[in-house]
Amino acid sequence: MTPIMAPEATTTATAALKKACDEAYLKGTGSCSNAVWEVIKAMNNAQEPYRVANVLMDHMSANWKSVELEEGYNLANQGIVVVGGTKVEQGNGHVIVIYPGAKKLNGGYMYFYKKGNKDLMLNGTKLYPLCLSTSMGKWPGANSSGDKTVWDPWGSDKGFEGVKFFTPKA
Amino acid sequence: MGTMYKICAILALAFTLNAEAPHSFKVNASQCRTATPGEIKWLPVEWAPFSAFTRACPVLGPGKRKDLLLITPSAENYYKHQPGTQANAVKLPAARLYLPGGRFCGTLPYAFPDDPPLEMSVRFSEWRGGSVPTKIDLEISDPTASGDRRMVMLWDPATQMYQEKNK
Repeated sequence: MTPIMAPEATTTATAALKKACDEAYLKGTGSCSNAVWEVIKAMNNAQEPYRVANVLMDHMSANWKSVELEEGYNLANQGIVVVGGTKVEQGNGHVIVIYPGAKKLNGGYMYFYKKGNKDLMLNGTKLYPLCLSTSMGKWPGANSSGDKTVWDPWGSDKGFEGVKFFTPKA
Repeated sequence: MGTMYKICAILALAFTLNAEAPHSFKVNASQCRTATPGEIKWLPVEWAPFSAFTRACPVLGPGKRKDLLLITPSAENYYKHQPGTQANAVKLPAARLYLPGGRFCGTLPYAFPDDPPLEMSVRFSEWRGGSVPTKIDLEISDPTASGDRRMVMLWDPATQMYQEKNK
């Protein structure tokens, strides 16, 4: 599983984005929106108010620029913050940051299926950009400091279909 | 007198509720059975790897009439049949609905009652005097970032198929 080589992340901005993502992950709050908030504060606006995932999705839809995944990947590799997520009506949404670096295969981890009494291996199907994602839930794909992809928090093509990406307007 | 009045009121309320309670049917996985060879022939070719693990769940209408058949791969049976303590997660075919004569009339979003890592409950309702329920309520319990959610499918009289609401 050799990742496709992306342009080397050599710029100061890219290094700063990586550092902000790693520090947000290490804070270990388990809250996806807190981790994303930490990155936005470090990279864009130290005074940015905190928003839960659903509210952040609404805020970004109204005030940020919508980008396709491929564009988001390129921006992240220039050190620009790109946030992806889904809003869940009557529930908790989820938000992530595209982590700079080369794309890698999704999956590659196991989860326990209790009824079948088996550990199930989620094998990779496609290359995706990396992500910063934290979660209080038990889904292993939802915790990543650049070691999993933007697909993994949702864990299926159907779930990932609804993910939208945004970047702050220049 | 007061006690008698209360009892009468409770009985009247219970009678009214019972009389007006519309029929609904929640599919219980323990009441599903192994699909017959004839039923398996209804299924698309991609079901072939799962034919030994395919279950048929009758959907009972008013008077316990068998109005629909929900046909689904059993994730539990499939994975229990895999050797060892680990298995590769596979994409299971989604459950399908058939009229008693075998006419296909809709696809649920996932396998029933679970499509690891998610679980799905299915309730049929609103027969409205017809031979099929016109509404399907789905409750999905999902540990991924997609989260727990509800979905509704409705009977489309024009196509004689169930369609996801708002699609």
